[in-house]
Amino acid sequence: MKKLVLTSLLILAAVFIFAAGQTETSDGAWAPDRDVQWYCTSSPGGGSSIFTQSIIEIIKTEGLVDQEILINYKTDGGGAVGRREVSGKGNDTTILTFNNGDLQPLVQIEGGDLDNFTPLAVMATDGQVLLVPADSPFKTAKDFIAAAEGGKRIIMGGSKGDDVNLFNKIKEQVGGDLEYLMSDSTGDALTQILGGSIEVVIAKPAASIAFVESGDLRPLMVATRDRLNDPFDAPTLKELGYDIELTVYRGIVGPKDMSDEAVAFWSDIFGKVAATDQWKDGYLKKKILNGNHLPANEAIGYMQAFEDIYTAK
Amino acid sequence: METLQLLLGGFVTALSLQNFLAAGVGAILGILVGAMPGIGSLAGVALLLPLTFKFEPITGIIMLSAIYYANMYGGSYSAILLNIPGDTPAVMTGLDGHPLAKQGKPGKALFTSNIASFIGGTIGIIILTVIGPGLARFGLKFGPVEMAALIFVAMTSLGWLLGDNPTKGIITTLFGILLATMGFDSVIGTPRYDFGSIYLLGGVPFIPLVIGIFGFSQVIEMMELRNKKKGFDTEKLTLKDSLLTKDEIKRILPPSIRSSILGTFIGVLPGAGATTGAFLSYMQEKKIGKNGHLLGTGRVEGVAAAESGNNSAAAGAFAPLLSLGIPGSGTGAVLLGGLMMYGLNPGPLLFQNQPEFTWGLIASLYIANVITLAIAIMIIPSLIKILKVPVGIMIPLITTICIMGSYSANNSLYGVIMMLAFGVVGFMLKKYGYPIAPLLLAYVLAPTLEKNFRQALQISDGSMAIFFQKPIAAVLIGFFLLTLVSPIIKMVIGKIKTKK
Repeated sequence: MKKLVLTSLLILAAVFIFAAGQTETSDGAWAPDRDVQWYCTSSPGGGSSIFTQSIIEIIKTEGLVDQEILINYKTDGGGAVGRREVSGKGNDTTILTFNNGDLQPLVQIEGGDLDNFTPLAVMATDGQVLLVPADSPFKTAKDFIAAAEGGKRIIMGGSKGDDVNLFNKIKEQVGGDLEYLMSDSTGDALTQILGGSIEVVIAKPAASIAFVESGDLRPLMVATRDRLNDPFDAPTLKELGYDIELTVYRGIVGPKDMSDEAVAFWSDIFGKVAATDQWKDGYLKKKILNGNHLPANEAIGYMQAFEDIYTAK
Repeated sequence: METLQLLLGGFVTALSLQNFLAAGVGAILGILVGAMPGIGSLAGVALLLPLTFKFEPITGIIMLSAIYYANMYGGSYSAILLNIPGDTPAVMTGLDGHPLAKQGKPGKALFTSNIASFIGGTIGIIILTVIGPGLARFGLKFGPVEMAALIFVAMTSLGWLLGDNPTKGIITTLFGILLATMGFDSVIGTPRYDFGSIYLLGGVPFIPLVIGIFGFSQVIEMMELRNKKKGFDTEKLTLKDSLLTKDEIKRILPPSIRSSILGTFIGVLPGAGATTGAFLSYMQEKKIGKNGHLLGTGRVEGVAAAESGNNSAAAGAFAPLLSLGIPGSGTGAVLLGGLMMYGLNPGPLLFQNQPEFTWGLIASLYIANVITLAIAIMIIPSLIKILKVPVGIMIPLITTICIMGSYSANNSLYGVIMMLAFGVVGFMLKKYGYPIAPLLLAYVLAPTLEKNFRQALQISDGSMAIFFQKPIAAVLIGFFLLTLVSPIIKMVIGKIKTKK
């Protein structure tokens, strides 16, 4: 045991020294000098984690960043803890997956705003889809709406943030006795619908496509402006006559005092990722998202527009 | 039959030299990481994940699985020897393991732990092989209503832990629940009891709590008693004395098998993992075991129940992961991330689309388990020597481990402060005879109960009738009510009999 403890200590010490002792590269341009901590505030299996992992995979295959990139899943407190850690304690090698599902609770519950972070990129826009189990009595969107308008109690579920937002809009406009069970990620919500605890789930195409392809779930309607591609070809809420159209952007931010050099570096890296075929075909097309890459300087305004919507309420 | 064929094919994949080596290296690393307090399997797998990217997908995943597995072995070592659980599933192991070590039988405790881990792992994997996908589908049936009912049943077993003075036991239980409510409300997502502190927003972290309340509290105790207390009885610390007698093996077999079956099932359930598996297995043994009432005083049965419970739960957690692409635990989640990194699409079609991969992984779990057992038994003799270290050196050593462990749990000094605070709390509790186990059990189960109970009532619009409308929940609640009223019925019958 003594040997064991000693060896373990040595390994640990080595890791710490390695992490702390490396100096900046000398050729002027900034590059990460240690392992990159990439925070993701939703649990694995959901849209945010698939997004994060897809980018890291491309960075690895293209060899864009020399250091290792570690994903840190911090789902505590609906993501608030992870967000505060990045904004408060982050440095140039700390980045955070940040979509409007994160921005909304930040602004509305936690009393923060975009000034706590430095936007680095917007990568894509995602849609939301309402799914039911294969054997659900809701054959079409119209069945669901008729049931809701008829005052039937319907148990729905989904992830945090943007999914709650969509639910509230549906409840407001369609009406009825709708109830929402909030999960930590779309992955957890899918568990609930597969087990029959909820009747309708709000999910992102990326996280639910495997279950649609396997025939476990089928799409009822979508909340995007236009119809999505197969297998998510279902009527939009607009088509059905409701003024509901939500866009989920998927972006990346760093802590508020990230250095300009680091911002430039990361913005450049994500631009390169967005230009690869692996991104366009392997992620966007396969997971049914729209490419919408914006570099750091444009991402700020884009995200700010969303913040204005959330603060207006 | 087809299953068997696929499995054999899997063995061919897993037994290639590099995969075999990967499993071995994974086992060693896993034991090391598991034995270090604070770095649980979650952190262990996450830390070592990047290491495996250079391998073929199957090799990488085999190594990760071996790490995950071996962690459960390693976690119990520090719990038994130092009373500092290496990670949370080992908390229950320490309850009987450390008293055994104090009685001069650390070897027996370690040996039992290894054997029970092996049995748990093996049974877990066998169940996974035979009915994995079906079991995963069944696990899905455990929605909020069923989970709440299950936790109700589990909570009744708290009574068995309260000890001689029920009032004190109830006080620590309530204290555990109170601690668990800090942080964010899990249903509507608003801050609760955070006192305006960023740190408390995340709640009270479990690992520093455990390290403090078990590990650091005994440092204080040692300092208090340093002149009076004699060290461990270390005369007979040889490998031969570590081996279990026939009688002892007979004693640990039934609890191991019982716990393994329960543990596998718990591992499959959404949101429950190895920690809950170990807790519930230990409780089950306490309730129905032949020597259940003696558990907690240093019984090999207790170690066996806890260890086979957590290892089988670790295996069970692979079922939803592989057959549905849904992680059953935090570590499973990181493994899932690993699968996706390799370009695999975990989901309901993985078994169909990638049979070579999934069966290779299952076969490698068998192999990883055997290799880990062999390595674990080999290091017992060097492990037990740690007890020969004099108290004067032990105090700074344990303190260092406590600080390091609580720091690395969240990479922040907040963990260390919490650990120190709970060290003092733990010392006071022990000194005044308040049992600690109910506190931890309440802390682990309360958040699951709260979230599921509230969601269940959300579904039913506030009506308690929902617990009787769903078949699984109704059975569980029936069992729960029976447990509650059975002592009263027994008492009444007893009174009638004495009157006659």
